[in-house]
Amino acid sequence: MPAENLESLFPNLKQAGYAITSEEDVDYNCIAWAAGDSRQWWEPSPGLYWPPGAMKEYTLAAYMWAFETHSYAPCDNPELEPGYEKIAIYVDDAGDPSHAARQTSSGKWTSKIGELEDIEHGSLSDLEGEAYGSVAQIMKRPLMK
Amino acid sequence: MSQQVLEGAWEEIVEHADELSGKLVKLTVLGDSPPLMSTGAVEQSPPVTPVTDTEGLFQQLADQWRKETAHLSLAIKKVMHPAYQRIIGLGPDAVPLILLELQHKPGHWFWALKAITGEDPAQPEDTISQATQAWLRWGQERRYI
Repeated sequence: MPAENLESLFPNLKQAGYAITSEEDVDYNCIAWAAGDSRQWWEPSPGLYWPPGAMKEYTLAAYMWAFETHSYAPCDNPELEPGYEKIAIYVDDAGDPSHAARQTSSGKWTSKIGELEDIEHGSLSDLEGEAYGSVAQIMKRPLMK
Repeated sequence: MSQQVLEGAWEEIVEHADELSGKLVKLTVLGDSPPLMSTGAVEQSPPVTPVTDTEGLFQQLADQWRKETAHLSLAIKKVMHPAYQRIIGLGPDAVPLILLELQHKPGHWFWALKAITGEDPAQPEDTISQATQAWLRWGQERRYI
């Protein structure tokens, strides 16, 4: 997607700065990418991957459950914490999950934008707004060796 | 809002999908010829514009759908988009056009193909790219493409 379209969807990005870090790829979405999977599209819908054991619902609780199956636990802040990897779940105005981002070792965040590119952005608020809503939950897990 | 009647073939009625979005409607199917949709009405709407160029309409709707949903991480929101629903409303004429789209670029077209054809050649564990290949093989076998 052209940069101006991305910045139009996420107005905070233009001012804050960001980097496109991949090609477009329809095979995986932001939820998968946040969990470290770039092979499958994670969604609680028939024909799409959803972690076995997680509740199949479009709710924040079900999305948290999905991440819990990958060793994440709820956390109360997005600050960089040595030895841990954090993810953030966004919800829309209705409270339904809309996006997830993963913190990198630099403290920045990496996000897959739908079926488009991955981007690196400085803060979680860079993607908050009309398109994705706001961050509702931070989770963390010990860094994989 | 005053009540109105929309008359015409289904392909003509779905031309009005955007203006009907969010409205309470009553659908009455009276037969094969001529098709008629009634909202129990007191006021006649302007005649609907017949679909004379399915390929052109499809491209217009597909472009709109891609532009407005590519950033979404939930396939369910993509397929509920009015443009996508109108493409499903085009019926069997849309199948070769969707398959040509898939040839050009993998995407979340499987719901539309399943809805129109009643078939599903993809496997549950397939990635989007693998499901795309399964549908393209299906289309080639049936000489759609």
